[in-house]
Amino acid sequence: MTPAQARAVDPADPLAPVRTALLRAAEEEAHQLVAAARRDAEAVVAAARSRSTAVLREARRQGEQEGGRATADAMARTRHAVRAGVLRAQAEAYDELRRTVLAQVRLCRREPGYPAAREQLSDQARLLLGPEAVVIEHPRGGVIGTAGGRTVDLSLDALALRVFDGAGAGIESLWRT
Amino acid sequence: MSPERTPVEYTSVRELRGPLIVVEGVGGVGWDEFATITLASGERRHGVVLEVRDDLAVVEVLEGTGGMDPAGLRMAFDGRPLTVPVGEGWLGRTCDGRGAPRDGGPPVFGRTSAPVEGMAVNPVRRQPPGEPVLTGIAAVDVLTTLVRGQKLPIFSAAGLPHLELAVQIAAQATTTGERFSVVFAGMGLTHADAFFVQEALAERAAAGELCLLLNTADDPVIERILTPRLALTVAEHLAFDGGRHVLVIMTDMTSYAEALREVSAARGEVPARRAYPGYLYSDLASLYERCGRIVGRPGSVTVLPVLTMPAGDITHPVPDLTGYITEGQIVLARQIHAEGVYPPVDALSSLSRLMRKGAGLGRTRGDHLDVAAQLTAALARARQAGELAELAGESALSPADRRYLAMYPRYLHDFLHQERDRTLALDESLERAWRVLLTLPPGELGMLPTALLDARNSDGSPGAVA
Repeated sequence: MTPAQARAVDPADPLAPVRTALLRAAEEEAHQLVAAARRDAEAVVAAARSRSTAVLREARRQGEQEGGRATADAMARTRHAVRAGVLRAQAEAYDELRRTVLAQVRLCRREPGYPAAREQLSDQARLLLGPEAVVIEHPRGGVIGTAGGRTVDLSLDALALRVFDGAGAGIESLWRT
Repeated sequence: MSPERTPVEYTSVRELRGPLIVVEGVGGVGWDEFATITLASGERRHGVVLEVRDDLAVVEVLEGTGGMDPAGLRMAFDGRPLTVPVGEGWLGRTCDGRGAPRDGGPPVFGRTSAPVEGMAVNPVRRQPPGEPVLTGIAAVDVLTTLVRGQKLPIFSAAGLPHLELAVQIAAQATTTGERFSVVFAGMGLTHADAFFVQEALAERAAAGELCLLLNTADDPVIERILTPRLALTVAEHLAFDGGRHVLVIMTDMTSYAEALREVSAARGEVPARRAYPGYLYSDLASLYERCGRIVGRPGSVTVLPVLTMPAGDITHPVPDLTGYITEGQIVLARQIHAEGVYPPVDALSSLSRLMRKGAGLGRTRGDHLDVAAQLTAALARARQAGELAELAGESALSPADRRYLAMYPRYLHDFLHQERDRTLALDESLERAWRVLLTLPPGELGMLPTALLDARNSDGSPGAVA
């Protein structure tokens, strides 16, 4: 309290200046606290906004990444499934051709020239194994020759499969246009 | 087998033992000759002649002898070693170690056939390796660049991710802008590993860029000996007739060498180091030397064999003899793996001897060789500093040494480490290297030309490098 204030003190209420000063100080402090709280709140809000933007951006990036990965995985799975399907179909076509070749070649037994062809095959068996070879007709056509632990398979099935296996890339024409 | 030729089949089976058949009464049969075995049911299996003595032949059956009745068995010899059709029909296919389909498809067809034995490229017709094969792996592309026509092995040990690395390279490798294919030969793989390989490479196979040959651990060892030869035969024709650059990945060559040892023992040969046959060196060379480029022919065959060193022993016969033949090595380290870093390439033990023929201005990037040299030198210094710190404590290090010590973790995590499904473009890999190097004071980067350093901003962003 300045000397002038001391002089202006009302004798009936000597504590009035003190009250006034305390009130003013309290008001100033309250203003400061409110301003600081407001500033803090603004900072918290700004930080939260910034964080939420970053989180949103990261989530979007992760989502895009995961979406991209899922799409790529799905495409890879589809390509793989398509490829497996194509290979399966080719194998079926190959097996079907093999079955057809065997079925057709077995029909040769009904041809008038079959007995002569069978004799030729018997001669070939004896040529390969020697004159002592035992030659018998195969149940599905052609002959089998045996001689002392050796055998030659000149059945129609074996002959057809030898040609079929040697056809190589020609068989691919089944699925290549 | 030509259709005209009627084979004489032998029916006197003296013995069936494990995967072996002993046939008697044979004549004119030679070692390694391919045989076709017909069972009484009509089922056909295949084999290779292991041993011939008088009128006896020992044949190892590739599909095993399970369910065979010696009484109804017929065996025909081809009169030559295994031949396979060759051509683009192999691309996109998954087969076993002797080329039979495993993918549910028909047999592989080709316009011509070739013996899988093959032969090394004639040295006088060799064109020196050149131009890179980019693997998408920072450690390989930047520090041990793989060059077209090169043979560069990966030395690993049990428990390290060599199979993952081999598969990642098979899935990602390219020769930018030129026709490229991969032939992956897996030898002695467990079924789990075979499944992993097949799944991981399915996409590239479906794209018709890859041929997968899988010999599993339970397959006969003789098939394991055929597998790399088959892979190389397929690759040679894709490359030198088809004009493609072909990368052949062969894993695990130690498993192959063990199969060779088993067959050699069955043949009664005199064993050499660690019971491997004395001809292990020339046998490995007969595989590795099939890679290269040929004068006047398009394409190239690059070989990346993977081998595991038993107990991590680099002096073991397989890595030792491989190292004499190949042009460098990529070494995987257990310590780096323990840090959780993938791929755990030990750059200071790794080397691509032909790197200068495949990297640098006009091939990769103008700053590539300088950056690689500087990074290797920095790693060597960081290792020295680390050893010094262990002896004398970090406080005893010079400020420069401390910078090197601080650089090493940055190198491990910011350069070396990459995700197992991530392809790093060469530019990206080189930028990673630059970022690690620029953590060092400019005075320590004496191997980088001043112009290159000046061209960089202080934050390590790229400047004008050619």
